[in-house]
Amino acid sequence: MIGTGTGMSRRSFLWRSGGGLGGIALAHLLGVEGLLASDEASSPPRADLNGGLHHPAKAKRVVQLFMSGAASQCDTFDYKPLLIKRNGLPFDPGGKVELFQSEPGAVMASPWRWRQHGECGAWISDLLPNLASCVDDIAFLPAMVSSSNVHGPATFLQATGFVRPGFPGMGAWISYGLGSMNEDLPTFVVLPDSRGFAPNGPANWSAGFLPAEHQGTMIRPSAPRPIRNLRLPDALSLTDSAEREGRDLLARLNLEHADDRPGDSRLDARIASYELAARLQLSAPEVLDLSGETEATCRLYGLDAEITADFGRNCLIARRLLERGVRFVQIWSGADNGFPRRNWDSHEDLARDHGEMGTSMDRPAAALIKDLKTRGLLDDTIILWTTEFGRMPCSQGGKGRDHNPFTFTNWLAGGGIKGGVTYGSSDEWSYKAAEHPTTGYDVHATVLHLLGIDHTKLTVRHDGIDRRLTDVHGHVLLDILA
Amino acid sequence: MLVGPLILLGMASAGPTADEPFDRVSAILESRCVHCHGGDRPKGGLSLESRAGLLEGGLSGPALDEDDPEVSPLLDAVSGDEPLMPPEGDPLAPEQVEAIREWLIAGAPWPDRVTLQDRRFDVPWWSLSPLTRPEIPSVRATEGIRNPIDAFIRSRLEAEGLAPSPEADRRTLIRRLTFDLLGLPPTPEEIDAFLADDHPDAYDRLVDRLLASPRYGERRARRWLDLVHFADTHGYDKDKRRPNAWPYRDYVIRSFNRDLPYPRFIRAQIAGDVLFPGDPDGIIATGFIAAGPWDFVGHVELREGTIDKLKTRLIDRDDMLANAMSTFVSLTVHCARCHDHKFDPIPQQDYYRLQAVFAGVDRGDRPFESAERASRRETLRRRRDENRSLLESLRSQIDELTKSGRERVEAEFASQMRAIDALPRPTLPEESPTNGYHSAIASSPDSAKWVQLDLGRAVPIEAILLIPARPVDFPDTPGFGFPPRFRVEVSGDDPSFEDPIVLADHTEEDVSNPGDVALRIAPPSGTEVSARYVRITATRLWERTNDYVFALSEVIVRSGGRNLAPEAIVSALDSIESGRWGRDHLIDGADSRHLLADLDDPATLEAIERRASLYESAERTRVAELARLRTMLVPPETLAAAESIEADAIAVAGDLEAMPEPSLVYGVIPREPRPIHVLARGDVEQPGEEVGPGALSCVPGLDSNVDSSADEGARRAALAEWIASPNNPLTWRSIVNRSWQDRFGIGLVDTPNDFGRNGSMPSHPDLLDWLAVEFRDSGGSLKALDRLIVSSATYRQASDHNEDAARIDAANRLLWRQNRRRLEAEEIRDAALVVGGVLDTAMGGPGFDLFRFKDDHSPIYDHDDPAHVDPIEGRRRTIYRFVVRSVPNPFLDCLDGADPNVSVPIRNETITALQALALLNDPFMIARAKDLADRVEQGAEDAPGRIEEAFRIALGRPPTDRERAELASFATRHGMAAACRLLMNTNEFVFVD
Repeated sequence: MIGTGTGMSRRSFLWRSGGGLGGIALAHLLGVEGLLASDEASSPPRADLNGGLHHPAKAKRVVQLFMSGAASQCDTFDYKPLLIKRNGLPFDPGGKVELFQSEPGAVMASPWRWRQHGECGAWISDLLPNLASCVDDIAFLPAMVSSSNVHGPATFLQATGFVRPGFPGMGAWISYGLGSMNEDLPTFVVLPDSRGFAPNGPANWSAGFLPAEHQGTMIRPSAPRPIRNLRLPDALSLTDSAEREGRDLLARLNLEHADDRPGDSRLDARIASYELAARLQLSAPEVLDLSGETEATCRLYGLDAEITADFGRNCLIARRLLERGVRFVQIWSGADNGFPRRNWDSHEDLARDHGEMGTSMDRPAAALIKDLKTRGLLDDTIILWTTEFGRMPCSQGGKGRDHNPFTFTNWLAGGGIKGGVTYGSSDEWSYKAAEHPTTGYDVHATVLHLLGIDHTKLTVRHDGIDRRLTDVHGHVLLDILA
Repeated sequence: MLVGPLILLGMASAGPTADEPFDRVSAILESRCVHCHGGDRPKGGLSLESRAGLLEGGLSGPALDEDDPEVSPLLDAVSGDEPLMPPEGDPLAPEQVEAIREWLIAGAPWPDRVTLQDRRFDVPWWSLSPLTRPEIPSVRATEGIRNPIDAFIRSRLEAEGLAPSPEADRRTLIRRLTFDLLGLPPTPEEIDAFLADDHPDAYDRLVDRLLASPRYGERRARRWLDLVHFADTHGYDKDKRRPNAWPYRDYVIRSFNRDLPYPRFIRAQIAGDVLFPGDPDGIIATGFIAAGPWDFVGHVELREGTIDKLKTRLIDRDDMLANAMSTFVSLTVHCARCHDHKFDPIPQQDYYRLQAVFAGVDRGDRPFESAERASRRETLRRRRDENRSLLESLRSQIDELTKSGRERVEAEFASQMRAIDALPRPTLPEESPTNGYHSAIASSPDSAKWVQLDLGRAVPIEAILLIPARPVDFPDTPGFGFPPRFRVEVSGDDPSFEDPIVLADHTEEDVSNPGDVALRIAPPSGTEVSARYVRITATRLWERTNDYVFALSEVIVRSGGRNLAPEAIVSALDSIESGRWGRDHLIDGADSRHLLADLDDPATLEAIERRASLYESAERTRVAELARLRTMLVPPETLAAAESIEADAIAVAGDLEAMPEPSLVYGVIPREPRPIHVLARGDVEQPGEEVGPGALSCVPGLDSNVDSSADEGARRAALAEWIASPNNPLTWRSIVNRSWQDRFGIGLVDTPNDFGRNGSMPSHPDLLDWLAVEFRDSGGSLKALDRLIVSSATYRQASDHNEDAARIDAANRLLWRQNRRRLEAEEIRDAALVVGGVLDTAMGGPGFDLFRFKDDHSPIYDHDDPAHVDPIEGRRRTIYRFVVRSVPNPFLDCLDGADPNVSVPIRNETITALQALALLNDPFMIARAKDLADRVEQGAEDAPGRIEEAFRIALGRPPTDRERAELASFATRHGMAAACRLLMNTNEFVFVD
């Protein structure tokens, strides 16, 4: 997309100067609608595309719930009677079984009971009673496969499409492709688990080689300062009016400086960036202030119970961000691989650790679906539930489960997604994908498709390669589209 | 077979005339189509190599519609606004499409027996053509020309009807030059001195001063470290610290400051350890190869023999070779991992030959020391090895002589162990949740590992019991991880065990594995030992499966009739903190299988002690019997010889131990090269033929072959020589282009890491080649190159806009003016330190942390902890910070700091609201604004005077009357720090004209 030679320089400059908060200002300042029209990624949306870039969009925003540490498919969404039948017997699916850190133990039935739910009759374990009530809105992908069985690379694969660091996150690509819907807020927002970062840390939501403003802006609602540097630190105290006066004075200094240096739009863009910063200072605290939410809403998200309060608050804030036009919100359930377990990596005691993680996630995630639906936002908001790989149907050390990259479940709901369907299936053990093996690339391609983006066309030349979110892979999952 | 004309024609549009429609079309097909639509497996089944292929067509039918040629699928595919074909690169030019149309209408004539071939690479490519020194062009207007650079630039400007800009004023020049060469602002005194210097060589002397400054290397190194993606942690999951990465960073700074000749700089970084033995910098420089990310879990925790292990190593080597090729020769070789390079003549084979160059490279801490010390160490090690082999031969003689007797002794020992196994155990029926302590995995048995207990205070030690491991998640192995050689020491109050009391020493001879019987270690009877620290050191590790570990399930420390271990703090040289293993499981009251019974219960203790003492006596008997056999059966002179060698071995070991530890650098650890196969689609599960090491075959005039029997070091040395060869045109063009970019913000080639067909063409090819030859032939001095560039009138131009010139060349690729640039992240931070008057210019050494660090299973780097945002040691230049890969420094990151996960040849230059917030509100910036306020408050009496001073320090100029008045009024009402904060947020502060 970015050309070469002298002809590209203006475009390249615009590209390097970005399309987010600052870049938008730049575009306005330059009065460059016409100029931008030649640049696919930044072109103002055509009305008939409903905000899409290459074809009409079905959805405008995305919220991704990332279950870090590998959530077990065979204890949540992938029901296998055989595991109950063979519980405790040797695990022998045929062929060599290669596990990440252990020798295969006996077949282990889920500690939770299974029931059918909704009109579609999907089987859900009793670990997730609230999500179970949403199954008719959900499209399940129980035949997900990962090419890596290691948390770091596999997390990257779902987050950025590559097993190695240095690539833009999905939200960064979408920000780059579609731009902002609210200049007062960042386009891509990340809400990490309050206990810490998942494997790879913020590299999961970096802008990679895309301009910096496309990276995920981290908000930590439980921290004393949820957004870094939003406010003046205590070390210097100035009244609001002094701040305003200072801002005006700075603008005057900068305008005089720019007057002596005509023809350099960066100087104007930087002046505008201070105005945008001031707007962000006003809009961000408003989003994080939950005092206007009804008690019923707070309860819906589980803010009244300790175990669900953290993830629930993040889900509720996500809804408020989406309402205000943030394109992509990523919420993490699960921190690093430390001990005691604070993510889904239940090698030692699945009932205990998945019990806690599942319960903390279930009510808030279901609330997000229901709440978005009530507010009419689910129609054009995609909810994507992701984990980096699954867990083995056999036990590890008696009570835990080891990694399983051969089959696991992700699911989608909302804008343009058909509810109550299941695409693909695993084998009778939930050990390997059997029908329609599905990759993270496919999921990424599908999300981009619903946003009106052809995943093969959203590319950026980097280091000699036209890079895209889906590398050289990915098929849109037509069967789950509404 | 067509030969001459087609090759000469090359791209169809480039040909002078081509009358025959076929000649024009075949040239297009050969340069754009046949590489996919040809060969054994043509894409879509369509081969365009012959007329037959055209007619037969592919999966979607014939490519030619003979009835109505204008609707032929071939024409359709290449026509329209968004043509389907070719899928890569620019669409065909309209005249090319037209040529195809005419040809099809003419019935697609095709001479007999003519087969087309892929000729994409037949046309010479600028970056691969040999370097020759171009003529310096003559120009009409010679006024103001300072050196040959200006002649090259001027002649292009003249050709386009452009004129250069006048020289920038002196204030601009010194600010530009100081930032460009040092990455720092000039001081008001330096500015004044330069303004007052009316000697004709004032500028040249300024350049000399700056090139001689140690700050120069720090500035240039920043760019280099961006390129080689250096950081101080591994990256990925469990992003561990690399405490010894910094010596490489210092090496780069040092090399630039010393103006190390570039060829030597290349050779050292690829193979300095091999090419410059005895020079510590030779080893340190290999930090280049290890600079990039490394997956700790994949390399260390993942089991050997798994598919994921192969993937991990493939990607690891890919990182090394991409680093070498991108950095030094500006080619995107890494694109040929899954298939032949799509744009450049780099076959997959070449890619895997480069993998083979790095097939024997592991990353790790490599020792280095001075030549003298290294030689003494070498001598001692040789003596140690000689002793070992002599001893080995003597021992095998002794073993031979005592063979039958020994078998009897061992059988007796085994039978006693069986008897012990039948005795009651000190455990409860409850299952243990943990296995115990497990060291990191070592590749050799002879690395020492220790684990130790801190009892909190010195206590009398009655006995120490070591319970071996017998993990449940491993095939049943009593005595798992129990080291054949070890010692147990205690220490009164010194946790470093400099002067320990040794309670048990089994480091000279292997002990038999105790199975799961506890070992009892006690001070010699009658002695009283009091200690706070207990350390168990394995000096020979237990063999697991082709690797070596040290594990124990439980340690019990008896004192005053009680077990004090559970209250201790356990530390270890290293530890696997994963699953059922962990340091703290060493004292958790459970062995690997069961909970231990109450240890304060005499019955429990008796069970343990009984088993322990039986083992002890069996082992004692075994050792004594073996000794008796030796005296009986072995000639005394043999025993004496063995004894004297043992004595010497102890002396040598002592001498070795007494030598100071060598320093470490995170660099190359050589090993036996692993076999490398060409991988179909880059898939480790589809290996093809095995390949040996080699370089790129596409560079003419250079032998890319490396002796396939070359050992690890020879492979890298060969690659280093290939890169550093005066005949490698890529190398010299690449580095002068980077230097040019550093001085103008954009390279003569604006894709500095890609000189292939997917990259850009040089804006001034002759200038690039002239610089490359000049640089190469004058010995590769980067300082001389810098001096040449910044001395040119082209560099010294003003950066002012010019409406007329912009209409012709808006992007200023022809350099009719200098480019204004925004400061880079580090420059902004460093400038704030200079302006605040607090820059600490101390050089080198370990990096400073700009975060709270908590070591853990997954280490934590918290950049938001207020106590760590502005530490006192952080007043050093930003290049000395400790760079974390997984969690970037948010302040620098938002200012477009380089991502150390990838090579960054050009920094993005974005302008965002978050940057405004960072400069306005980051505690670091606030602190510097206060520093500046303090400075000027000490310097001047009143607010206008102070504002005057602040302008001169921060912006390098006095304020206008209005600026002075407005800022002074603001400062009077809201404080000088608030006013200084505004100055440090101006465009003028962050841009250089």
